Amino acid sequence: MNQEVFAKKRDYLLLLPSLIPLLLLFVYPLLKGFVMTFQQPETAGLTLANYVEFFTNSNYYDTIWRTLYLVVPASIIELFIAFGITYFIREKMRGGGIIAGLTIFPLTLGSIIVDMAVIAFFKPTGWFNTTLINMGLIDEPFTLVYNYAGAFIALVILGTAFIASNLVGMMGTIDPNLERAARTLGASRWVTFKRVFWPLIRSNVLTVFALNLIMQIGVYSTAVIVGNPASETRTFVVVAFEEAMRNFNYNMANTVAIVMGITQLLVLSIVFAIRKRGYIGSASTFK
Amino acid sequence: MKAEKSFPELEKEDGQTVQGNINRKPLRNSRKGLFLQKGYKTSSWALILLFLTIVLGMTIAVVLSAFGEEWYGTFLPQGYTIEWFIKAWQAYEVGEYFKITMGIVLTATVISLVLSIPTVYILARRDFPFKQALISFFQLPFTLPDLLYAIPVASIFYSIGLAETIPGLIIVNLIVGIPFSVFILLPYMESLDPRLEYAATSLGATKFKLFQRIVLPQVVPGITASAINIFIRMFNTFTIILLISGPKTQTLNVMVFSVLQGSGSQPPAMLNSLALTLMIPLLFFSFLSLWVSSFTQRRLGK
Repeated sequence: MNQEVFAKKRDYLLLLPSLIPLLLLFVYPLLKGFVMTFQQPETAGLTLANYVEFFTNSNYYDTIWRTLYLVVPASIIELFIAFGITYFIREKMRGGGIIAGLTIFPLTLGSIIVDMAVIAFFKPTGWFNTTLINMGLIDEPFTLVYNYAGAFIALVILGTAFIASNLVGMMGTIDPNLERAARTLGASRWVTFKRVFWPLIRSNVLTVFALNLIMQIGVYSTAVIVGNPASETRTFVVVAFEEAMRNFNYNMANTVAIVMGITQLLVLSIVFAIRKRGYIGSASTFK
Repeated sequence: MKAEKSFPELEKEDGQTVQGNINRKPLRNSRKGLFLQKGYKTSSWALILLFLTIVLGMTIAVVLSAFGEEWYGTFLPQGYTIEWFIKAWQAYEVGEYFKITMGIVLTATVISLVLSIPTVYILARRDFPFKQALISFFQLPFTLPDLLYAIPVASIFYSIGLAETIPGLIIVNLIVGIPFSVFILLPYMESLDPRLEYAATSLGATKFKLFQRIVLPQVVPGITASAINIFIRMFNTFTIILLISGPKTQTLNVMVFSVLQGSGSQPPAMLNSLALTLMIPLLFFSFLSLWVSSFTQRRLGK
């Protein structure tokens, strides 16, 4: 409908006001940052010393394992909770909208408030522990804050909200007639899910899963506020910030950032390799 | 498999899987099918209740703690007060940081809109080689992890003296603001019908009239809504501000984060009320954006 006119030379000038700031503030730092990882703070020449340091000093290379150990199990659990809830409320039922809204609600709170809320609820004198003690289930309160568990819980709550917010829309785009057809042809609920619904939504679910996973690999404020950034939740970003803000070693900080970026790319490629082995395409036929 | 066994005469007939599925139809009415369905329903409700209890419980807990007087060992606080908010706001000069943040974010929003609107217009109305590549380039800054450019930007800004200054903070917000405003304004611009402009020109409208009567009324609601979104987005910018902020030049959420990170000795109620302060501007702008969109919809009669 929109009749597009081929650009004249003068038109390209109008692209410059937004392109120049981005080139200066984004592209140049990105390239400079990459070069920085091959330099030392004082000397000039190019060297691999930062990477050698990263992969030989356990203080650094442990962050890979620590981050993945925190984030990967959390995102798998998030996917199950979010998928379970959104799939269940997909059928017309009373209160479905409220459930969806409350599941997504932590996203509006933001990471810092969710972290403080997790502390308020799960601390030894918080409602979670006092309820369990009053019910007589446990004698000693669980230590669920300022450690791995605290960061894990906060991540799960935020991640579930993020995945659910995307899934609600995606499930809406799948034509219910396809499932109805399967059901009238005699397929059971489970077979309909396995053979009709899941193959249609699979690629979208994996995309959201991957997005959420790479977002959570960059976890920082949660790891610092509810976690234990000195040991258990010493993630990539914690170490990168420590190098940049405490030691002013931007070269090492950026090396950590680059390793984090590569880890995210690897994770992304694994998820997309899985995604490729199934149907990718529209699910809203005959609408 | 077990379900098929209850219908042995059907199982004999079919060799194919598809046929097998049809034969499972009576499962819904069988006892096992009902049991499975009940189990699915119960476990789904259990999952929903567990998750929502935690979400609601922790939200209420943090709000009560921020408004509670003394809360130790009892189920509910002894009494309610807003003293913690007043204390937190005075101790950490929330008003001052709020003003700084608003100034930075408002300026950066206006600058990014001004810089990106010409680009968006060209992207929506003209065709040129590598247009798609350029559009993807504009999305790069918020798809890449921000740490990758934030650290070099911080090191550059420290070496040229822009770090820990207000202009520096405004400039770094543009890295978020320009791509984001291109991203949300582009679909909007594309949806405007250029034939209205052709019609106006053919009916003899001057350039100024065209802009005043045709372009502007169409564009203003979209730009207002986008501005609020860009504003909220910038309000939440965190990583890069944290890296280049100084003690007196930081935004509200970076200040709150620094306080929460460093002070174990403060009463938790005060820290909770400080964290909840972050909600106020965001709630305000969410309502504002809802109001603007409903207002413009009423005006345009859509």
